[in-house]
Amino acid sequence: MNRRVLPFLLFLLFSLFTGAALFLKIAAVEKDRAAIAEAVFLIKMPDGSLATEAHCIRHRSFGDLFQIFGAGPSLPPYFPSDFIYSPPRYINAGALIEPQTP
Amino acid sequence: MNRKLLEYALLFLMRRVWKNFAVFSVLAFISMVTLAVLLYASAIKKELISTLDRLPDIYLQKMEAGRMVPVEEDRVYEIGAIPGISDVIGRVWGYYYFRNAGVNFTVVGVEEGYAYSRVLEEISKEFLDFEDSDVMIVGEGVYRILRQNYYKEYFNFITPAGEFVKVKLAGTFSKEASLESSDTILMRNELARRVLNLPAGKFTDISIYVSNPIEIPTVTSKLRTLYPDSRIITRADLETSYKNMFDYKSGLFLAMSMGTFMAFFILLYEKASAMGREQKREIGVLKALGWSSYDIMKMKFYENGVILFFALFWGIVGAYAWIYVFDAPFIEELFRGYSVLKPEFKPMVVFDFATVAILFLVIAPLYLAAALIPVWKAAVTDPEEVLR
Repeated sequence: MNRRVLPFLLFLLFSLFTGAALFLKIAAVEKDRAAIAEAVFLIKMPDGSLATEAHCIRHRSFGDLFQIFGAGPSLPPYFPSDFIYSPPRYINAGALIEPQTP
Repeated sequence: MNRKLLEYALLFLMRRVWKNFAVFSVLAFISMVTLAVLLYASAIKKELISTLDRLPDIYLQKMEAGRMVPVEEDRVYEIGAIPGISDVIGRVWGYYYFRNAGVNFTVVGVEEGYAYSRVLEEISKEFLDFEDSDVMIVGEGVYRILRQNYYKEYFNFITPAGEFVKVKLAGTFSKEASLESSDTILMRNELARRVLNLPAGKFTDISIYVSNPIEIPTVTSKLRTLYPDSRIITRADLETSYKNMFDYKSGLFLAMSMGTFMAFFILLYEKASAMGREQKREIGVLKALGWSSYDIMKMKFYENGVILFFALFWGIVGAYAWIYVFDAPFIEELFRGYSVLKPEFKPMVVFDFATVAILFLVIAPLYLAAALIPVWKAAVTDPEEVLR
């Protein structure tokens, strides 16, 4: 075998070693599914608590395609979390905004 | 596989190592970003879908003028009499807006004396006696927000009637279930009624359990006939909704990154088509030495195959490390929204071979075509003409 091919073999070994180490690390941190299942059984509510900033958005699976604003899952412009860019940070700040005096 | 040809292809790669490394890096980066987005969406979807079998089979909600209104208690008994239904529970739940933080909490009531004590002890920490007094168990996100607002042992709910209801903190949900319970406040039904101002004899909605899953469509149609003013949601509807929600988000992101994909392949094709004089000469020399076009194509296939293999491999490793080792920075923002009450959760581990296979099938043919077509054009040209 040509000696100049050796770097490729070393890179291949390094790649496989890194991949295996990562696989073992990830496989070791499996979530406790029993705790999740018990919580869902108790709460009996669907959906993840991924977005809570608009009325009724938390349990949007309860809506259907013909819902009025506020309850439906298919009105993207009304649900900020459907966008991948964020609105201004002060949108939830309320009274926390202090006017700047020059 | 021809070993000597592979060795030769590897040596060829070394001759223009930085150019090839740049192609490898860009290809690996594109694979990593695409796979990471799909993987994160799959992880959330998997976690939610894995909890579906713990949810009731059917939900019944009463609608008036397109809005959900409380449902009468009598319906719980009427529904219980329908054959095939094993359990019917009238539920008290609703949203509580906490003005100081600008968030909506989900207040959920559980029946007093119901056999929940064991489950509560298992899922919550710092457990107090749940049935003793006005106490609540809160999700990890609610706990965080309450502490930030100096509510460490109790919380004062302001009812719609303007009264204060002081509720002690009995415990928090386990962090493992953060995705499902982060914004939830669990309390006894009576207390939830006071907080939400829901009168006795009314429920927010009704959850129904059916003994035989095959009978769910029949029960659903019976309920629709009995209560035309109701919205009926089955577990199958919830599953569809979960899939739509995350496929929409990951799809939107992918649609946006298609431009990047195309730009990369056009760039690659352009670079390869404008093959340098040196590279054409190399091919011409090989042909003059007696290599066939097939041998040249095969060698170039090995060369680009090696780049593709390593790029996809490192793309996959990078995507998994991004999601599960570094906790998905940037991508989590895409899926979590940007509300104040973000759940802090670790995504469930997913080994999604189908997604990896799709990624390979999208990238590999395009990349190989972009790299090999110009080589083929040079290889079929007369060597004498090329060498001149």
